[in-house]
Amino acid sequence: MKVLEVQNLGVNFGGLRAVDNFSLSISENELVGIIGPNGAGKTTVFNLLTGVYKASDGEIKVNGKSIKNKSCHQIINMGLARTFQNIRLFNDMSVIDNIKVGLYHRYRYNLMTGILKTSKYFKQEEAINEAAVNLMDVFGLMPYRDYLAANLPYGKQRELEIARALATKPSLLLLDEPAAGMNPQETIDLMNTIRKVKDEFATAILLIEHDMHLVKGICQRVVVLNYGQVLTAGPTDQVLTDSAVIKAYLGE
Amino acid sequence: MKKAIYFKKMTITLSGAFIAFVFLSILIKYGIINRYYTGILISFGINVILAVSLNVTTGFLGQLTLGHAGFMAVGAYCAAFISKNLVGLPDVVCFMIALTGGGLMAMLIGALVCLPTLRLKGDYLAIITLAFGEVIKNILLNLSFLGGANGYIGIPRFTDFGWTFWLAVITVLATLSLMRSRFGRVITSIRDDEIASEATGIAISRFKLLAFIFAAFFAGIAGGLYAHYMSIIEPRVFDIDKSIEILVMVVLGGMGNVPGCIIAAGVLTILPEFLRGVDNLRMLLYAIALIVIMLCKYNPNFNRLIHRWRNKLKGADRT
Amino acid sequence: MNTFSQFLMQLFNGINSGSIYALIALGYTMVYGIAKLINFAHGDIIMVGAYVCLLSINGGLPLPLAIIASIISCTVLGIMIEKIAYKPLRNASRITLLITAIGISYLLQSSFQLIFSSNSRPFPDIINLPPLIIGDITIAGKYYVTIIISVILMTVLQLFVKKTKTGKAMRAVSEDQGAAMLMGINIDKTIAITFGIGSALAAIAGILYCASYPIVSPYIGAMPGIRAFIAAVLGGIGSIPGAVLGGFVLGIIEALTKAYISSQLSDAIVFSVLILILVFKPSGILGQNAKEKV
Repeated sequence: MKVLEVQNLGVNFGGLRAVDNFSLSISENELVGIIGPNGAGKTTVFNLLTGVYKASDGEIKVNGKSIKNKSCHQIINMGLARTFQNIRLFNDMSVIDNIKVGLYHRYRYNLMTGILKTSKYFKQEEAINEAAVNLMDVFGLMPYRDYLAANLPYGKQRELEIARALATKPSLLLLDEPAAGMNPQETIDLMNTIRKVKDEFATAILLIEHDMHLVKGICQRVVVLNYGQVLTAGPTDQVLTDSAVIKAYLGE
Repeated sequence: MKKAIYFKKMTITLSGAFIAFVFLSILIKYGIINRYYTGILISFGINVILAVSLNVTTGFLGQLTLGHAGFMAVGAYCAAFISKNLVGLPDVVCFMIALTGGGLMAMLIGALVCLPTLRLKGDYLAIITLAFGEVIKNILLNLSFLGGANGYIGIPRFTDFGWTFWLAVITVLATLSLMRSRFGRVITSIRDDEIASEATGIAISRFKLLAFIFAAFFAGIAGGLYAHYMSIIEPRVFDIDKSIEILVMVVLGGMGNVPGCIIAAGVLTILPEFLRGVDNLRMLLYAIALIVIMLCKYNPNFNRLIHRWRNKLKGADRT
Repeated sequence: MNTFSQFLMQLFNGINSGSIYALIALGYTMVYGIAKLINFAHGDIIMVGAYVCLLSINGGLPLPLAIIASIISCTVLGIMIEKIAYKPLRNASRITLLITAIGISYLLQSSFQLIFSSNSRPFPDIINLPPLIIGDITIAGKYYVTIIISVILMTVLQLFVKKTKTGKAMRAVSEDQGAAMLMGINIDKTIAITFGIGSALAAIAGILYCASYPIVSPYIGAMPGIRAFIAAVLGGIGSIPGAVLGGFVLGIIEALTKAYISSQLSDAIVFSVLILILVFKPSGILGQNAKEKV
């Protein structure tokens, strides 16, 4: 089954056609990259997928269901999760609590149980704790368990954001420039992390990236956006050697 | 938290509260704490309820509300109306119904105020709640069956130390309990970053509403206690100055810090007793406290100093 | 007098108070636009302006000098408040700034209460011009003077912001502080000037307000302050023409409510206007939809 199907997506900002005729479909456990020059509309696509902006036309289906008229949090609960270009964490909360917020919908108990602390509360909280610890283990966040998110080193902040997104158990994870601001070594570590996420969590990943090493290293397919339109799409090695793509990036 | 640890902590807390209660009750019974000081204790309890409940919206949810006294007014008038018109029941039952009614009414009004503002950012919410507090005051001034500007009189004096003490304990425990549940975590996450919270699948408006009505309910209870303690209530008591006073307690105690709030409520209950007759000075001190705390909180040098002190204290503990 | 003339009279009442609200709303809107802060203390600057004017007149200064003294002291006060309380918090969270602003507002109110007591004092009748009579409508001198002065000031301000270098700097800072700084604009100076201008306008508004309602007390700022704020939101906070439009609309709504519905409920109705705008068009009549960048 396709986790994401996008057909002829388009959006206007005033007179500007920011995204035009964008189509893409992603299968389970696939790793796809979106590349393109700055201002090509990559983040706008993410914002359309997660309902932050409403599409002017076209259709988006997540796990076979249309996201029309759904708000951001409803779309997330349909199986999408995302990170942000400029990291957005709950800065004054501990690392483990950041992840526990992501687990909100997966382990439930009602308000009265929460306030009166019946035995169901303790059972569920234990499950929440266990799930959070498992996620932290994957990303090596255990040593930082009780740190405030704001005090984490930059690379760890990125990983925490990914861990929090994974906590919602998405079938498709959207990563917005995960390698931004990282040095080559950190980027290599990140590539390993992303591979690990793909394998261990059996999730599909769609990522925006400027770092061509990362794209070349892990993406199975690449979509190139330019001026809001798909310039070309296909297997990574083919696309990255395409002359039109090189022209869009480097000019004539 | 593990179940066993939780119950152990809870038992210690409750027995501590019980011992304090018995001790104070004995002192009151034998007149060692006279009526004047009992009155201060009751005001302290009411202020604790107000401050801790405001802390849920302003401290944990991060939304500035300037109409907390308005919710208190709704609770006070509603509870007073119930207990004055509900005859033939034992006092305890009557008071329970009145307090619950006041709390629920405040909750309902809280929901009505909150709903239109859910989509808005913090600044607007502050103004709306401020406006709402003033509207409530104006409406009460014009409702003759509630006494209007002359005040609503003849409310039975049901409130005593015991009621106030235990209701304050319940408020504190309920608040802490809420904040330590999955709901509390979500509320705090909204304070830190609304967009990230929504992108984590949280229906933020639902939780804003939850925090709001939770706070309004307890403000209503505090109002009910106040009405049945004073026996006469006037609309002008519940004005913006009262809301600001509660806000000062929260800010002084530390936003999102429940024990701090309790201490601050204590300080701000006793302080006016020393400043009797110079009421202007009190508001001036509140104003200065608000400004200085905010400036210090955001001053890196000050924070570094606090950090060093804390480390020193920790170091001293170890040796 | 027929009902239509009566209606026109009420309309003039509304335009009179509306022009005062507009002057105050300009201060709110400019400060909000540039510092993203609801300056709760703005209403109290009106009160300070009125007090300075009153004390100067009582001290024997001629009216023009008293007005100038009032404008200068409010300007200085506005800039000082910005320097001491708001500037250190420029990157702090909204709630921190709001609480500080509330603190400043209370600081001004209670210190004036300590110095001058909470008793209200009469304000002298400073505008002694003959009333304007059109048909059976009489418009008091202070009314048309208020309206004329306000309109002149608003026009001058609009020209200042659109045409002068400082005005352009102000608009640039409100669009994007970082970018404005990189263009060599002195952010601190621009923000200080904005606070200064807003406070000067508040001083004039305070004097005009007291000319219409001749009483001065430490609390007089609160009422026109909150109404002007509603006017600013109504017109679209951050927009200068919006503040003017919002001021007039609100003044007229208030006057007509008082005349035809109920004077006691006018507060409730004015606040309901605020709630209705915020629900249906939070950006106001002339405001732009600002969406936080994700």
